[in-house]
Amino acid sequence: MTSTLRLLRRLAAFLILLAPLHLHSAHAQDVQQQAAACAACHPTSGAPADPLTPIIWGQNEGYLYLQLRDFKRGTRAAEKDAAMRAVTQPMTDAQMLAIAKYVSAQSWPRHSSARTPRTDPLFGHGAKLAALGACGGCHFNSWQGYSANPRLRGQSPAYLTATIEDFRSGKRANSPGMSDLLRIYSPEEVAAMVAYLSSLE
Amino acid sequence: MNSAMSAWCCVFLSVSPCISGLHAESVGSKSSTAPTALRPGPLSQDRLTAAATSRTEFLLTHGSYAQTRFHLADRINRETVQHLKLAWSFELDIKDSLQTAPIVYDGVMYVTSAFNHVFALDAKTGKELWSYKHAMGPVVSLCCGPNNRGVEALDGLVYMGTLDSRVVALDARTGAVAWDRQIADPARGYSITMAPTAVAGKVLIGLAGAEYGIRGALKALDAKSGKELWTFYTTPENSVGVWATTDAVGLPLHRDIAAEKAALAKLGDPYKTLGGSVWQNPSVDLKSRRVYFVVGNPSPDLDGAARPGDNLYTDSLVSIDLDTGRYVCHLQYVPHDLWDLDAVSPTVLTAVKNRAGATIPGVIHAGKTGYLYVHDARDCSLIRVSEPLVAVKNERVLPTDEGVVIRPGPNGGVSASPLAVNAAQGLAFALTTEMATVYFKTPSTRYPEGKLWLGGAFKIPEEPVGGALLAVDYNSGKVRWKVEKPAPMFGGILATAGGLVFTGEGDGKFAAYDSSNGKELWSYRADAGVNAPPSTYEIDGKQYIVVGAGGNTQLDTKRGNKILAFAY
Repeated sequence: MTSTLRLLRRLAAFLILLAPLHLHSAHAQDVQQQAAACAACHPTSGAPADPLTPIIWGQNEGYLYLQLRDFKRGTRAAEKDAAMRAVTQPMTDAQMLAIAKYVSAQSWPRHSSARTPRTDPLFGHGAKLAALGACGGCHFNSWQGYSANPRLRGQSPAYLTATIEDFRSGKRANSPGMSDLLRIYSPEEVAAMVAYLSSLE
Repeated sequence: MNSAMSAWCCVFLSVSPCISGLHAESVGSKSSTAPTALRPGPLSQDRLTAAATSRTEFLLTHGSYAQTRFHLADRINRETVQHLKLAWSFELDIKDSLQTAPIVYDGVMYVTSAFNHVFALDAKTGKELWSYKHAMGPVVSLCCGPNNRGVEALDGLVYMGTLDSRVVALDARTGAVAWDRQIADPARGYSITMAPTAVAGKVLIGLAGAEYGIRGALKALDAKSGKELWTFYTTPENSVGVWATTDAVGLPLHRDIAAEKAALAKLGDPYKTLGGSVWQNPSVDLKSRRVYFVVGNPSPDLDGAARPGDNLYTDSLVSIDLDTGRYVCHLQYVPHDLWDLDAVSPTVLTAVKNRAGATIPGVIHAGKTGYLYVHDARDCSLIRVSEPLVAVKNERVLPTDEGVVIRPGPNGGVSASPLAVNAAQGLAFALTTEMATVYFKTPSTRYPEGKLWLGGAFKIPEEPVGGALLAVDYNSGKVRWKVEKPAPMFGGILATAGGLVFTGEGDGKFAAYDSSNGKELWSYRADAGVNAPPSTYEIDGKQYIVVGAGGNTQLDTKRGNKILAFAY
């Protein structure tokens, strides 16, 4: 099965789950059921099957809400965001807020994605670049971020790499400040920062 | 050291785990109260007006409406400071960036933690009387850490501005919420870190978020109800100004005025998304009914293409009328700023000498530019600028694609740290950061609806950093003395009639210096960065010095969660 087909099947499953829900207000049970649909692509334990799919459980509430909103609005619209654009179309603002709140309250999945050991020079180089880049001003609390600023710690390395590339190229345009900050790094420097951030437990 | 002290030590010697509690925030507002004999009275306007004359209390964030951070208590002085000992310490429930400036009245101290929790403490023992845990809204947009700078009180209520752009009023005796008002939309980048100024039946509160394209403002809310009384936008509908070619120091700005005029014709006035954060308490002169404050950087920080003109009143001293919020005067430090050279450190009102040598009402501010500015309070005009307080390099040079090293950078000069002023000595005490920054030009982007909007990039080169505590003679602009430090100095200063200056450091050192020459006379080592402004007060014949040790997010100093009170 190609990854696109796999994605479409999951999307169909998600939409079926979602369909009856937007008729009701965002009751707790609905929200839980709705958020459970997210797990089709974003598993609650282990790493997502598609490495370009981010870990969302335990991600910050404000960030999750703003991304859902931006997918729907079309302001986060890189190619790989097409599925999320479709998923968010029927959602109301209240539903997006409720899903964000629920998903953020879950624990960050344990996963066994390849980690760069702390002894690897790449890890140390990445740590230094992140510190000198003052990334902690927004992604503070040991790279867990807060509210509108996402957790980077332990995120999927392929997703981080692709996201940084999308920011740099302007394909992802819903935080131009991030595009500015990331443009000044070489691909090698990006690789080091990704190795460092994704390898933190 | 008394028995209460040793009991506290037992509790605090154990290392507590880092309680971030970030996800637990949304469980709901809570107040907890403990029975107590302490009953703080309704702090009256008369007491606040006379705050500078109190020897025993610390009634406003920066000591008085003039914001000198100078206190009359002198039991602790150059001779006795060696006897100063830790009296108590209190652990906040959150271990993160701490910038709270404690206020103390009727034996009760009010402090805040990161993420807007408020604590009322017995100022003599450090025992908690009540706490308020703020239930943060779903979206909070921050640039520089989960900071809060403290509370002010008036007529039985205690006021706080929150990261999610609300102002809450709490019962000073119980912590119960009297009112809670949303004053801006956090999803559009607005936040509040400053302590409000409670004055004349009003709560003055400023909005921040110039890293997200906000329209900054200082607002007055009715102190009893929270109802909005007036709003002064820090970016007026005509923000163009005079097409200044130099800054307030006289440095050339290298502007392409013709290109800016063409952009203005095409884009219109950029005032709606022009930034202009208010980060700190305003000063108030109740005789003239005037408010003085400084306004931060324009949005986007480093790209002028989207914002032709001088970008009034960003990077400026502004004075407005207390009763109506109407503009009175301003002076812009950096027109059309391309370097994030905010005006942040709170204004100080004090008598100064003008150029003719006459003593007149003055306003003092020290900027991220690394200069201390002395103004005529009547018309905001600039009397003099100090010599540079930090090493300068490539000042006002335009950012380039390859990157250009500039000193000082966006961390200052003098950043958010409040000054202290000893008027008898004619000295302003300041904390500085020595940090080079590489500035990069990046392609222009349009206003991103409340998302991070910098318009350029910077990073810190691998060069030595440092800082200093220094004393500036504001009637001559000369540095009188300077104590160099191995790391950036950030927090705040307290000056006392005991001839002392107190301040902390990122490595946990908290020390007292002789205000006449900078000689270190006493020090203490905390277990986290001391990056907050100290306060002082007296109870039962003892003088206390209190300061928060919680570190700082932006400078990434060691985080902690203690309020430390020293006594003699």
